[in-house]
Amino acid sequence: MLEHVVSQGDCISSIAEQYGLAWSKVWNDPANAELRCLRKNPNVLFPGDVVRLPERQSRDEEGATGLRHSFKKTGALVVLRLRLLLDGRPRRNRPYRIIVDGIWKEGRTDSRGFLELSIPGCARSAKLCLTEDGFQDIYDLCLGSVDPISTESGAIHRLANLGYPTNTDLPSAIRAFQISAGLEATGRMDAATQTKLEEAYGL
Amino acid sequence: MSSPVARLPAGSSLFNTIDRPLVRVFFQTSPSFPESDLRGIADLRFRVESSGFVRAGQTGPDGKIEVPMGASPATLQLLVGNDVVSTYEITADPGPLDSIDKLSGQQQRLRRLGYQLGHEGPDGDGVGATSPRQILPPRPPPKPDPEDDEDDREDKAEQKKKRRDNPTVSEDHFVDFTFSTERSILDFQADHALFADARVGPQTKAKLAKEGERS
Repeated sequence: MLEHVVSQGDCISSIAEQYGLAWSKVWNDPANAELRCLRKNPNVLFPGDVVRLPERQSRDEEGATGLRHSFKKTGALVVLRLRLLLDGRPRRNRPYRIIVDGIWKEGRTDSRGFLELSIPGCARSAKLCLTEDGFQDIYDLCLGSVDPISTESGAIHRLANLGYPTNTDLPSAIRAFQISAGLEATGRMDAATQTKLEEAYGL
Repeated sequence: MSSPVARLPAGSSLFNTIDRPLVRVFFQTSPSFPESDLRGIADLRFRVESSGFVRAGQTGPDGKIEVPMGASPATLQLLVGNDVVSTYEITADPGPLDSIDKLSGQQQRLRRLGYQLGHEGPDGDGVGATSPRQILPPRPPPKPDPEDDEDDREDKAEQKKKRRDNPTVSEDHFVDFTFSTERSILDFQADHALFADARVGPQTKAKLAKEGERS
């Protein structure tokens, strides 16, 4: 059985696409039971995790020569789903443009500030542009790079995306989050803080 | 630095939140010139960047912009054409403000409201390094003038201008208006129709606390 060592930016979707497999088959393979138990979320893995890849199964299809035949690729689509806030307020009903792996798409955030679009499973980066009140805002996104909540880097990723100044003083950033979440301000990332952070961030 | 986000399978209820707290920055002429709401410097082109987020635009008529903050300090650049003419680093402190009873707490609120505290002192907090300022004791509020007409707005505006141009100084306390903090308190009082004596008495304190929190 093939093994894939996870690097930053990998997730089950991107790994499955890389090997021509459906992500659900990879994730639910019995050989990955330990990984499932450790990470819970197939799209939030940690560099160094090992994903075991089931054999690709071939299937024969009959088709007459001289005719065009259509084949439909199965498997779940991969999406980018964001909730955009500015100072805690949803950026609702805002038109946006986004470029993912060189392809531009346009859309509009919904009434809660959410946007969702299909992306290639292996897409690594995106730039999202919004215009609001005469300002042009650009988000530079690194896809598939959120680490698990149980790791320090995972907590930092979430706090940073929520706007807490993790680069200057991490304990202060944690304390500020704890205060806003109604927790005791210890400055330590304990289990209760992790749970609240997951809720606030969305995963 | 980019913002890390997770890819998700279609149909998942999970999501990534990206929030950017806003810090107000004021571009203004010298304090008390000509009036607080006319100090803003309009049409300044700027570009601000912090943690994978870039905002570009120009100041409005009031000279105020809202700077989105991220995990690291924001870099704010002023532009003329495509040339960068000034660069500032902006750091946000997520902690609570100091007490309104402390000079530092009053300065924080004045700064949040756009009053200029200058750049004296090692921290650029407007306070001289060698002569730490004391908060002047409050003086009793002036007795109400029985002939004062609440509805006479023109008269009030004239009084406000007079107070600003000729600040009242009590004889028992010398107030040095060259110090930026006191000057800012004086401006704040004039702007809010308070008795302008550059001291943080109960009325000024209450107003400063209320306006500072609201900003």
